[in-house]
Amino acid sequence: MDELSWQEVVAAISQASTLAELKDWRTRWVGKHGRITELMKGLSDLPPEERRRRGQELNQAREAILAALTQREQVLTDRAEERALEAERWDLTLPGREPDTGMLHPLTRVRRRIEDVLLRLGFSLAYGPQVESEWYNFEALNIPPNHPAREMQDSFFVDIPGLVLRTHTSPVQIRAMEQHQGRLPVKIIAPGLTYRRDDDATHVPMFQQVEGLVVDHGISVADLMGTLTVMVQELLGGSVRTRFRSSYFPFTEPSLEMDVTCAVCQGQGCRVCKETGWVEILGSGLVHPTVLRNGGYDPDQVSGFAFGMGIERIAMRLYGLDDLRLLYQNDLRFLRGFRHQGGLR
Amino acid sequence: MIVSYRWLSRHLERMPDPDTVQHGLEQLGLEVANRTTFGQEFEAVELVEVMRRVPHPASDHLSLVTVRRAQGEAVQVVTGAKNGHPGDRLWYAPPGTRLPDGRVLETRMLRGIESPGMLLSAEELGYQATTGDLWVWEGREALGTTFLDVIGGLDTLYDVELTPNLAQYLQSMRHLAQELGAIWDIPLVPLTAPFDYGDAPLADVLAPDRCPLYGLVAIRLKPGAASPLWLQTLLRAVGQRIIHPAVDATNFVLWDLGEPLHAFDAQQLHGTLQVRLARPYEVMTLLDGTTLELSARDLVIADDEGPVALAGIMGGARAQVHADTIAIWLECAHFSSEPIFQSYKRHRLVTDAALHFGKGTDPEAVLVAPRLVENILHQGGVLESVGPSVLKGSLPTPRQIVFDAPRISQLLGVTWTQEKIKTALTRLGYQLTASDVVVPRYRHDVSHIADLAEDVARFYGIEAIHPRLPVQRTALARRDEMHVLEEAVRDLVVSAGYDEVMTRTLVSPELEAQYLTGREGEPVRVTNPLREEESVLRRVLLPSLLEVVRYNRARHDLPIRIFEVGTVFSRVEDKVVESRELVALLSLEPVLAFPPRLQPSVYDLTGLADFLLTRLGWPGVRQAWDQVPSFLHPGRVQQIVVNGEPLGYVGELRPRLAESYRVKRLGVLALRWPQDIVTTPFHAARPSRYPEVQRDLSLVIGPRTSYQEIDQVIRRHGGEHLRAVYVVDRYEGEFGISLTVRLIFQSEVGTLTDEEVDRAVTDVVQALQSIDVGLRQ
Ligand SMILES: [Zn+2]
Repeated sequence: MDELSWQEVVAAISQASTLAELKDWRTRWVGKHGRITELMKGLSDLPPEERRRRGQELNQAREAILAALTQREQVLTDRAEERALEAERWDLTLPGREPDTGMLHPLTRVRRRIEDVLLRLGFSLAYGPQVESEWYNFEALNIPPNHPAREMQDSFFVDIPGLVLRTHTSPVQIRAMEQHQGRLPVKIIAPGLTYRRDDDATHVPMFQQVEGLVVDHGISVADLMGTLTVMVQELLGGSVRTRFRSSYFPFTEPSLEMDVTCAVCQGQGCRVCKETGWVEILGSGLVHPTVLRNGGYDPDQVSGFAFGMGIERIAMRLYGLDDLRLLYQNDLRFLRGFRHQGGLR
Repeated sequence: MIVSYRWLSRHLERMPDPDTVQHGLEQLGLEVANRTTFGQEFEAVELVEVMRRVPHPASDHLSLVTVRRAQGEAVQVVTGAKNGHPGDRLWYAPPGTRLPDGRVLETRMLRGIESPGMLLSAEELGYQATTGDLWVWEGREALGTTFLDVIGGLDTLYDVELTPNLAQYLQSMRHLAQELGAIWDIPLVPLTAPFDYGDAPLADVLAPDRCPLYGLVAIRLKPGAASPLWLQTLLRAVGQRIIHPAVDATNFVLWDLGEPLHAFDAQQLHGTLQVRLARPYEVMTLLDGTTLELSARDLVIADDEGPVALAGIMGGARAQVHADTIAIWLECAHFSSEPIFQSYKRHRLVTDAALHFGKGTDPEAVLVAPRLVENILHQGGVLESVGPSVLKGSLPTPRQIVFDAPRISQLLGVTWTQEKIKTALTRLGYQLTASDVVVPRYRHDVSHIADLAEDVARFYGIEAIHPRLPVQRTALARRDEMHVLEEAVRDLVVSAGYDEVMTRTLVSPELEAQYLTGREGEPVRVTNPLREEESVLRRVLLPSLLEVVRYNRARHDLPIRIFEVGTVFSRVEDKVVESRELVALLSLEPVLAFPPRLQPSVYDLTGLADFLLTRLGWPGVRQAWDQVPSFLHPGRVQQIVVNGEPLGYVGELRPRLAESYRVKRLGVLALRWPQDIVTTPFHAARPSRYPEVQRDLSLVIGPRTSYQEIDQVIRRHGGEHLRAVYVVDRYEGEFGISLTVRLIFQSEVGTLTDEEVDRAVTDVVQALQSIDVGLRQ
């Protein structure tokens, strides 16, 4: 075949460095007027035996050249793409564009965690007003007008006689019992805002509590202790140890305070826990007979337990805070700090 | 209340170590706030003997007294005391000693002569004695004995905090010892025999319901005596001053039995005493010198000339005991606690007597108290004689509770036997009859079986109860719809990129007044606010959030993108309405960032409003607002109306106000919850199988034409196949405003032809001309 054998053509194609070169090879050899096309046209002049042999030969050469072209084309296209993409290289060490989502307030998240644990234990959510009647806030809870406990909880009064900013979420106990109209069980938690006339590093005038109440046949101190232990361990971690101490609240009898191991010293004793290794976490007790009666239940037939805890105190514990006021300062630098992994829970 | 270890030990046959006592107190439910010792300052004070006494060469009132010490050399001390002669034994404090009044002794030069330390008087030790200036010790102890030795060594003191229920009966060493003895199973030392009251006509009780039991004993005293050393030591330890043997004895009984006594100077009394209600406007002078105007609610002890004591609270000045009193009438009474409580609150007279009587005392103490006083006075050499006496009234009937041991076990969640429960109650002082528990008269806190259960729990310790989860009938735990919604709003706004804040509901009335829309009604005011800036319950959330902006902008320049869902309050006559409001704030300032961010704009907030309404399914619309309040930007605000009820607004704060919070521009969205929540029902729709056709129209609009009008016209005239309309571009040029809107057509039943779509578009264009909106050429 003239100056080049087809083997030489194939070799040359596989060395081609541009697509234009390939096109040129294609035109010259297998195009409409390419050398092989022309030769194939001249086959008809040959005798049959010769034509068949020569035809096979030419076909073989054509196939080989086409295959080489395709292969080389692929190589050159890939190379071109690589080069083009390389030119598009970006510096991904620059900061990414994070999704613009906000964050719930830490106290909302802690409240929801508490609600979640107690909902799983079968408590329903209940609510009451923040501006409460003195009856629900005091008298119904066994705190008559001259009771010393009325001074323990210094209250805000409003310009409507008989109303007070509730000093605790406990009035919801009475409201919930009234709503149940004697049906059993009563099993509610009541989160909400409460108010006391206090303002210092450990007290704020407005704070949040979660109240809990169970009324049923046969409810006991042991049930109270078991429920609260499960709850606190679920909230603070299974390794936290708990203890109960005898205490006093007008609306429970007996009354118990619950302590957990101090987070600062892990129970070894330090300044924070006054060297006891324990810190108080909540107040509780069996519902006082008078309170049951005021809620429409017979204290000789049923019994119940109640507890109340400060959401702030749990939040401080969970997030390792030592100043309650930070939670209500709304410093965005502080709040946005909760974007970190610890803030997810 | 200070509890003395030594004092407690007088009442118990055996006494465990101080640590055990502390644990015992804690088990009883008392909080031990602090633990200290009494007597350390007496460790250095030693007994010495006077060898020689000569006048000070340079002074006519000072003397030089040389004393022999048990160890070391004799010491010469300068003293101004008149007594202290050779052979006398005195208390000597060497230099370095800290006296009870805080003075630290040193070696001083007195008129040219060195005087190391001091020879002490009883007063300088905080005690009382009758031997003159210096305390001449009559005891036989060896020289070198310390004062600490003679008072019996150090005492351990527990500063305990009593909860109100325990204060009703545990403000007494005897009762504390009794409870401790009960848990430790240590018997009490028997109390002295009751006093034999006579029937002398000394007193009358005219208000027996206020004073069920009233005893009066006439006692004559020897002058110039002091209380026994052990009693002085106990009173000093618990922080009482030593005053007069008669007063000291009553103080002792107060803390020993929890029974306040009162001693009248008999020579100042006229006629017999009456326990009666005060007469309106009756006036008396108390022993602290203040004058009190009384009312018929006050109980007084009066003689023929008027009140001599405000019963159970404080004595009067007239019959007060003085140092030279030689005849007293000793009052041992039981008063009803509630009226005493009210009386001392009313007059703001907080005395130890009031704090005991006001919480409740042991009526049985009235029977033994005079005997105790008599014994103490006798021991101190003060008692001359016990004269006539009288006891009016009788002991109240003790309360009884049906003894139901299974119920007690059930309340505690234990399986304790009847015997075990009986043991606890008996040891705690209850008497058990065949069917009842008789409550000791001093247990004013016990009235129900739950109270007995508490005592049994305290007796065995709470750790004796094993925690368990309750076994109950299962009931569905419910959430409250309203609050589920509230939480949903929080989550939606957070997902839109806003940080939640939490502000106080008490706000400043002046500040709030600037941000009202006129629909809020009257505020609820706090009558005893901590400060004026927190004196009303907020009617709107916005000012609280603006304060957050102020706080943050004073400290840093972070973009503001915050929200709160909180309670707002309003009053309707004498009712308070509490409702929920959402407010979101967005600082409309350029955000410099790479990679670039969308620039915040009011459209973010109008979009947030639509996002919320859609997600919540509230049938709400944004519309023009006729009367825009002055705190908002009048050109950039819309009202949000749900079912015809205006529930909020969205737009921009008046820039002048925003600047006062250090933000150039501030967007605001406020949305309140509807009275009745109606949600648009939602049904899922299957997408059409036929292709959609898209047509863009470039419109030229006038400056006052709102997109809302254009949108309405397009939708009204776009035909049945118009699926969606949206704006893809907005451009302001010389020709005015150009808006490119995209119309999406699609049929449910077949592929739309070009003719069908063209016809719809032509209709739309024609209709738009009627509101002066044309196509851009
Ligand atoms: Zn600690």
